[in-house]
Amino acid sequence: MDFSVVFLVFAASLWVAWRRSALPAVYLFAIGMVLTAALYLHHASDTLPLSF
Amino acid sequence: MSPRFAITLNALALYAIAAVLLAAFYFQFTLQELPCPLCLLQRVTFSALALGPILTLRHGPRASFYALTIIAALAGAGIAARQILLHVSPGDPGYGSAFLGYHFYTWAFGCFAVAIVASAVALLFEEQFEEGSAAPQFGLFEQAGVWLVIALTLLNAASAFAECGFALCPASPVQYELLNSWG
Repeated sequence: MDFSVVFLVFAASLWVAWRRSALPAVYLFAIGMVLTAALYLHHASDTLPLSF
Repeated sequence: MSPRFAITLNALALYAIAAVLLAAFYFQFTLQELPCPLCLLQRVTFSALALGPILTLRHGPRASFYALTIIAALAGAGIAARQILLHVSPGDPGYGSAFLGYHFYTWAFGCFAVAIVASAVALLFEEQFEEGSAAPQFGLFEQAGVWLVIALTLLNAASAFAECGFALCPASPVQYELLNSWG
């Protein structure tokens, strides 16, 4: 669910950039980047099963 | 570099991003390997990479649009580098399959590095930014590239929803949670 939301935010950003004006697209891009950083920080502390 | 040539190069960049996202889908379904959270984040940043080229196609070349590409590429390279470092120990086979000897996160790091260098090189050609010289005229080639990347981003949203369901994505996915909850 969390990743779907981020993908949808960036899809909206790309659509707005193409069909509307640049500034709202950049705002959506910024929101998407903040969400990406939050997801990264959340998953950076995941317990990793040893793969060897 | 003329504005028209810059727009064509940005359209080609969209097709390159689409090719990466398509390749990720191809290996996901043919190898039956679910993308991990860091893998999904790299796909997210590939989608984010497309904003700069799309804005260039729509409004003409601007330095700020290349800056957006560099910001997205730096984020993607950082995430890919984190995943490389997680599996850098001797004896660690890495996550998922390898392609031509390198895992997909290593390829992703290379792609993000290329995007950074390509954007920096494009910024050297200042004549593309001349006032009034960039009346954007895009044909089917440019429009198809834009819609292809948007469609692949939406498909990734659907795929991530199938993989994670309504909950937060698991650290080590082993099944499509949404399909499993229905089955």
